[in-house]
Amino acid sequence: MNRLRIEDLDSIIGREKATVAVRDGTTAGDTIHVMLCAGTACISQKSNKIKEALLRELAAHGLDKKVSVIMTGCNGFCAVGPVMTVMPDGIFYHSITEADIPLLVQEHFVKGTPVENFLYRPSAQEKAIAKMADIPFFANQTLVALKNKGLVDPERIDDYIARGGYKGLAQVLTGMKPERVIQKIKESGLRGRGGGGFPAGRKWDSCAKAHGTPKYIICNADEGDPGAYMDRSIIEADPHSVIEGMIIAAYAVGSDTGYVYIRTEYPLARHRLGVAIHQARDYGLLGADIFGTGFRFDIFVKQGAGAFVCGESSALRASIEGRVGEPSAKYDHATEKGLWQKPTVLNNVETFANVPQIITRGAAWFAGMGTEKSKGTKVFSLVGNIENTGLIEVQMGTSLRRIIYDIGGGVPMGKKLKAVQTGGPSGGCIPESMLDMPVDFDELTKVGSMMGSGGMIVMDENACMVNVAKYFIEFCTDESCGKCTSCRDGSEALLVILERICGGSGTMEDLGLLEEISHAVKEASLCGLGTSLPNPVLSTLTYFRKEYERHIVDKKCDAGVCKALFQYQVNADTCKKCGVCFKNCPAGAIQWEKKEVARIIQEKCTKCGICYKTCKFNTIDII
Amino acid sequence: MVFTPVLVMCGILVVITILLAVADKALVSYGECMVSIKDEHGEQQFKAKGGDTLLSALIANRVKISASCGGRGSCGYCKVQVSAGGGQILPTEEIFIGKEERKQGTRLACQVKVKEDIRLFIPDLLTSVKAMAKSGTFDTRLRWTFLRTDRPQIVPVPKKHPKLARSEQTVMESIVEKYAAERGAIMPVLQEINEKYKYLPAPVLKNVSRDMAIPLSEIYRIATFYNAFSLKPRGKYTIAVCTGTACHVKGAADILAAFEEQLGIKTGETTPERQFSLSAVRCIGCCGLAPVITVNEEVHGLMTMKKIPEIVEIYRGK
Amino acid sequence: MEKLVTIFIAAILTHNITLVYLLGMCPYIALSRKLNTAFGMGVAVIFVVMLTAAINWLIYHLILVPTGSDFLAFIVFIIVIAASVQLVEMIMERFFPALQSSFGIFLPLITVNCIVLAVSLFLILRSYDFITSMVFSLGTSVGFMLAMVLVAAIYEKLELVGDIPKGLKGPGIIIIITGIIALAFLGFGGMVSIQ
Repeated sequence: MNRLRIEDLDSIIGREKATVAVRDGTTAGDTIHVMLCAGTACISQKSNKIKEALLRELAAHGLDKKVSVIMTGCNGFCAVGPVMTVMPDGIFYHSITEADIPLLVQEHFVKGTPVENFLYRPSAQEKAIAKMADIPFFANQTLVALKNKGLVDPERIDDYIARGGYKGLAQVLTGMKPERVIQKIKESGLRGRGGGGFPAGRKWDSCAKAHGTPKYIICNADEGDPGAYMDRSIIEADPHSVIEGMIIAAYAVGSDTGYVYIRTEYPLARHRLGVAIHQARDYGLLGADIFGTGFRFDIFVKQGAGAFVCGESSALRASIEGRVGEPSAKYDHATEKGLWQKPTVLNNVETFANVPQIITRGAAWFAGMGTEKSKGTKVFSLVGNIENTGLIEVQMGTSLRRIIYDIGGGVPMGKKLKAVQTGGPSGGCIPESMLDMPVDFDELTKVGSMMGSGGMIVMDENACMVNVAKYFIEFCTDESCGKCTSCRDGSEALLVILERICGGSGTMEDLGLLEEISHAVKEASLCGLGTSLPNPVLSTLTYFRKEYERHIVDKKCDAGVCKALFQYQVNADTCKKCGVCFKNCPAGAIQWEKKEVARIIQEKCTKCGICYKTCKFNTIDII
Repeated sequence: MVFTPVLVMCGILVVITILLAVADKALVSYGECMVSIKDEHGEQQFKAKGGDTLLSALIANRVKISASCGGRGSCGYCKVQVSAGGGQILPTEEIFIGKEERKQGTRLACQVKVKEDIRLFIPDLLTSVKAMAKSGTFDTRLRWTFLRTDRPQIVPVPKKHPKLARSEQTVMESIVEKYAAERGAIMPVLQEINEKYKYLPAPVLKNVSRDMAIPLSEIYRIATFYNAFSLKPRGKYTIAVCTGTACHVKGAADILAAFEEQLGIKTGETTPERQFSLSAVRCIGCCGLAPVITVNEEVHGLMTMKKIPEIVEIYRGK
Repeated sequence: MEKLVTIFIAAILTHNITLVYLLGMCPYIALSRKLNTAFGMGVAVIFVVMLTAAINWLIYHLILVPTGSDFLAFIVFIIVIAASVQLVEMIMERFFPALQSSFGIFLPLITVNCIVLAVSLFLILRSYDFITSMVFSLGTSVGFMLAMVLVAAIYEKLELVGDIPKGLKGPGIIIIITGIIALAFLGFGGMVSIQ
């Protein structure tokens, strides 16, 4: 491939115009593109096999010239994967299996009628929605960082350029001084998307003004928060947006070397990033003399090794330097003394992904979205007990209620919503009563939680909040680097107390002790892991104190999670005598005869919950 | 010229010499003693001067015995088994003689003084040399063990660290060279070794420490800090159950317990035939498919208790 | 009398030959692992030091000084020490075999022990008379035994209870313990002085 000049960008756009039109659905014609989701999740559900089957069937029907199959990055609607979208019509198919393909090809591509069965249905009673654009999950989103998802082949740089990619870079390198770039980012109000929420423009500014060469740009792709996979999806779907963002940042601060620190648990993302960097280098967009302007910058990929604490900026830098990933006290800002003691800008994947569009579409456009202090959009991973689990992007300030019900489809199986946990292990739980709060950095912090990296875990009535707090503390006990006594021993102490409470031997003094230890850990820890470790405990104590008291005083877990504190019992009045629970019990703890009410033998019951989940009539109670 | 000091000096020396000579003759002579030796080849007897060490007596009579340090008591090779007349074991020998050997009367020939008639048993030189060569440890105190059962046997001391084969050494060197120009290269080097062997073997780490001039203690620090590295051998397939929040809410803990039962090992352990290792990871990033497990790099989502035996079967034969 | 008592106590505590002067380290470090060996070594040192101090004092004052060969003191002392230790060894081997097996092997070690020579030289330097020399040498060797026994006792306990890192086992940890005890003994300084 040749090194690109700026004019070449436009020629590529011209060359790919037809393809873009098909994928945007703005043209009618013979050419059809099948956009098949190939994110890690859908690949695990064999979307590779689906592609092979598609190609086979299309060839068999002689349609392989008309119809192309493109593997894209994560589409977002993970609940119903594997998914595919057929453009230009915009028909959305879900839960496809290899066996469905012959029928699909026959009906849709040969005859031209979409297949009803594979279309999305909000619930069993409602009509199917054929077009992706009409489905509430997609319609209610505002895409910025994810604007190319499902529309480009991440392993083909021309797809990205065809949609206006690298135009921002061209604009910056030819027409803007570095100070002007930083000014623009400041005006847009972009705040770090990794959890800290620090204004990106200010960070770049202080690095640009710092003394020392070389300067470094680091992209933090060590997304360790459980329940969060936004960064993975961005890299799997559109890695060039991150690369372009990093190059623009490098120009703004005067850096010539960049690193992407990516988790070892993301092999597909790592692979796609590697391919993207390689293709960018081939086009001369990375390396020496980018666009012939004399600016040089290159990116190298560094792999993590399974430590959550390496998501913290000083630990991440230590890991790149080949040392143990322990955080260190921040006497100097990283922007002055960062990687190898040189000025460094460290930003999250999503932050960089927003940068190119801020340049091309303007700071005012970006600042026009969101709230006063939190501008733009945010990608959230909506998971847990929710109908439409998946990845979404909405404007800052959208209410939780809208996210959970209008986009997420509410809580499945008619259960009640209990809480929403945001911000991963550093965040807190927001009760159902506060669902109308707008989602932005400051609002979430006000209620005792935090935005974090954007994980949003929905919990229904069968989630025990004490158990949730215990779960997060267990996570932090494992992942603590061990440097600070308060974090290392404090988290263990909290765990011991919470285990006591969940085991039935808690006392009311324990609640006071939990609060005291939590405040001590918050004050005395060195890094973010330690200072935010007690947040789950404190927020659940604030909003769900009654549940703690029920665990301690009545020794009961109403959610049916803490095994020592509840029992399953069949409600004799409503039992339909079907025997399904009896058949499914792995411990043989149910007594049932035909036409008789089932009875659970408590001594044998292991509280696995299978009977509770399989009973179609909700007859089994938790007492 | 001052003669007096010279005279005094000589005088003192002469007096002392006489005293010592007299004392030696009077006190320390044991006369001649009989040394009877039994070895694989038969019996022999000879007379030895009392007061000499056993080793010098043996060597003077051309009995084959290994004695690398020449009788200074620092190598531990001159082990013999004394059945009578050796006296008590000396502290200088204790370091080389283990409990079992002591019970059988094993002594170091260089430390035993011949004061009376001695009867002993000497091992066959060739067998003992072979045993010493096999042991391969650098611990001077554990060269070899000489135990006599009903048939004389030499028990070699078990090796502590296997050395690297030549081919493996070359691979190591090539990995280290690949990252020679990079800063902070220890991380990618360890990651490649981890990929190749599925764990970090100790002899390989020692080679890396030497080639990269990084102290072994630092490498061990890094290796034990990160979860992806293991110092113990792992199975061919690592089953990692995601215990992230989303999966936890969907019952990951029960899935993990079920895997423990199915494979018969606890989390973090490897099955005896090294086919499977079971571990818990925090969030693979496929939260939409919770609960999720990975087997090596393959992701299996929407796990149920039913699927567990199926998954194990698929990979068992591979 | 008072002076003798002062010297005795000073030799054990404030001028402890091992912990304050740091002499005689080799056998000290090698043998303060087990309480029995430490004790045995201590007794052997007491015996040898007193014996050689006596002989050396006599030789110095009766032979060397009158003949003006006091500058030969160093060499003569060493020769005499070596010879007397040899003699003692031979006598012990012949007449007291039980004693020989318990601390017979320490005797050759003591020959090159700095303490023995140091005691003899101190006698000369400080111009003690015979009785004072005996008391001084007794005190010094008792001080040596005290130091060894102390450290050996601590080491034995530490070995049982503590988790001594592999690299520090043996000489390493002994040196550390010695350092700490030496610091403690510094506290005795100023109590009495014989200098």
